[in-house]
Amino acid sequence: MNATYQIFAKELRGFLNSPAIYIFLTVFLVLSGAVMFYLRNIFAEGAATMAPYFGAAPAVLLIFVPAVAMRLWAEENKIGTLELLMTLPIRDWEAVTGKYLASAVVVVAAIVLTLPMPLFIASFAKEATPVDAGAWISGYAGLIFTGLAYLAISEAISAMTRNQIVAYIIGATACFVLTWVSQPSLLYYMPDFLASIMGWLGIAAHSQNFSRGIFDTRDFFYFLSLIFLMLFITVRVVESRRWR
Amino acid sequence: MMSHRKNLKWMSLGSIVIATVIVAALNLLLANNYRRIDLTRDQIYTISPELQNIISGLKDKATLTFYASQKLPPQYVSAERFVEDNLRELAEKSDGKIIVKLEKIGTDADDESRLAKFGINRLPVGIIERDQQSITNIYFHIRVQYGPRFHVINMPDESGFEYQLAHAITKVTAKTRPRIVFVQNDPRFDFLDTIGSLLGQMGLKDIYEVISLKVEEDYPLVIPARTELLVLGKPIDFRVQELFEIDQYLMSGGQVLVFAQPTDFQNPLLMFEQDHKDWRYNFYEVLDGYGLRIRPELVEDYGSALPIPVGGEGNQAARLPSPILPIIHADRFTSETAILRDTARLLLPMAAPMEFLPVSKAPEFYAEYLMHTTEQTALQVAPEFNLGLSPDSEPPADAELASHPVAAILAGPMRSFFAGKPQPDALKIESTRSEYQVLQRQAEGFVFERRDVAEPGARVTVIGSGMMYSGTMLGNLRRLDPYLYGEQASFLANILESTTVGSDLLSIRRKQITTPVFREDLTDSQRSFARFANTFGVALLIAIGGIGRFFWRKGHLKSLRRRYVK
Repeated sequence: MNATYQIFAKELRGFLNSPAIYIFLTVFLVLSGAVMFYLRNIFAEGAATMAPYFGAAPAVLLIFVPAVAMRLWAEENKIGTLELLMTLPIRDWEAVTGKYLASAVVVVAAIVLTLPMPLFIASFAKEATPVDAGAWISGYAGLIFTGLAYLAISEAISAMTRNQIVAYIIGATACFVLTWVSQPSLLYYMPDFLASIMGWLGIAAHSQNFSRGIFDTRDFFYFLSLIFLMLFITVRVVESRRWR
Repeated sequence: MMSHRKNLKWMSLGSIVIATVIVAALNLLLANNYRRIDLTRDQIYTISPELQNIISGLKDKATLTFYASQKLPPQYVSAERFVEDNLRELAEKSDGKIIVKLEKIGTDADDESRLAKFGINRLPVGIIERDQQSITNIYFHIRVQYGPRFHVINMPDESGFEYQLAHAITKVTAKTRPRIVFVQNDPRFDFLDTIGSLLGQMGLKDIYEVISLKVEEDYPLVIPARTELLVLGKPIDFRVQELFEIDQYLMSGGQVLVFAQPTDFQNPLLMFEQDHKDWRYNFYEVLDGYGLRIRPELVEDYGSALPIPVGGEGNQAARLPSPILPIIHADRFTSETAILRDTARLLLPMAAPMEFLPVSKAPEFYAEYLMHTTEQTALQVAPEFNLGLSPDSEPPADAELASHPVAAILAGPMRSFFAGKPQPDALKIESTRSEYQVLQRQAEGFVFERRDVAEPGARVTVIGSGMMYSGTMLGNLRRLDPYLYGEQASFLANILESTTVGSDLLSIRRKQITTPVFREDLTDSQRSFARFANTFGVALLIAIGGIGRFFWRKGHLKSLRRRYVK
């Protein structure tokens, strides 16, 4: 556990010292605000709600999260520090978990930094029609789960490649596919058996309940399972360097 | 060596497959053992105690069968999960009184003929297929079965799901339906037809026994026994015996709803072509006696610059020039009375202002204005209405702009209009219809005992617009603004439910997603600030933080180098 913490602290320091992460955060926040106030223009629409953001945020996370994760393993691979890491008395899962937790802090922090948005909206809402804070909390929980799932997928992809750009593109594509595979318009054209599997597999189908204000244990376990499975795959990929 | 590597490779791949299978199996297991926590403020996705209350009153078990097509169009996929989840939750909370069955219907002809026996047929829905809009027919129905009685909910939807269920359960389990009597005594008015079709569309006829009475020369008003609500649509002069009938119905604890009309014309554009009669019909004097005066003016709203089409022929469609129609917004509803719930705005064509008269000081006497117009309304006095206004009209120079009450409620020990007066002679019944009603009332053992003070439960609700539910107005309203039409319909349903079926169904119906709106007093600079702060403000702070961190680190490394590198 101590080793996990050591890796976590090292990675977090690495993030704080990396100018790229500030650029990614800045782009993420600008895009998030633009979605609400320029693309949708909620003031013109008149509804004091976060629904437009919760609807569009997975797409913004799709751009941001693979960028955070791309360097996790690909960089170590490229500059050769992975070999050094492998020689240390650290188990593979400790390294994978430490890196994941450090980047999770960045992803969660990015989402938390959008909180002024609901605060502004709540303060601008009419007293007679107060905002639904419970639904917003649930929506944010859904965003965090989506972000963490994207992160686990992107980390697994990062472990498979030596090139950060390749890791980013494949990571973002994988997240995109896994999110939109459950789109009803896509499922409609699939055979029934495949449609029922894809309908369950897609991230969008499971984040929908959160953004409506429902915490469903099935969605919660889906996200936990996805994260666990992706981290498990990452551990196996990292471990494979020992016998490849 | 190669063999060991190969083994490791297969072990690694194998472990991934096993982990995937375990995870999938766990998820499958949890799919049937799940919990949903509704975090919304009003618990809008949770089966409410009111519905549980209705269910707890069931003597036998009710079976709810959800039929859904095997292949549903995209827009129904999440609705299907929503319906299934809610039905399961309902079954769990019903103490065994609700049995839920889920049936997927494919293309089997036997299934189709089996369902057709219940009146369940595929319904057409639009889909987009290969960039083309097309129609597909699907099953998406719930059958509520209680003994031999059943009710089918077609296309249950998320927003009104619980109400649809409660409505269906109430319908199949009700022993008697509350009786609502709609009365119209103006032969030129289409109140009854419109109300009838509106109630039908809303499915309210299943819950209420609706009786329409057209009072004419040969057919005097006889209020049926067990009437829970008497609705008077744009009443004109009644016979004195009919006034006595209404008065005594109220005094016996009855409830009366009046859609009052301030002017005597159907189409306001034609008003100048008609003889203008003094509109103060005798029923308004009765209202005076109870303590509410309908004033003779017309409320004209300069805040609603919305031209409303009011009919006409072909492309000669007449448009009612605005500002004339007060559109009452929720912030002008002055009461939390149930009838205003879920109603954000209402259109009151040709609205009449009203005022309370000091007639009763009894502490139980209750009088309240239900809604006021905006501050941008002026009054015009009949018969000098000036309707030649356009949407950009300015109020007349001498017009006093102010808010006016346009709906009110009176309840409690009202004094009879006929108190201290001799009882009118009984009306000579000549028509077979009225005779039949009198006989029926006698058969049900129902007689009005003359009372001078109202019994508890007596209530008069007056809405200052008789055209509110006219066919022309509703028809045009639906074309012009379906949302506003929906609000008018909700308002009517609220009145009926608040006076008849009790609080459960009403509470369920008002449980829906209410969209919060922004304050009207927000300035441009406040909006711009919010836009900028949220889009660029926090981002800018992060960028500055990053640059600061970069320079701090550069300096820090420099000092380390100075200290350790010679």
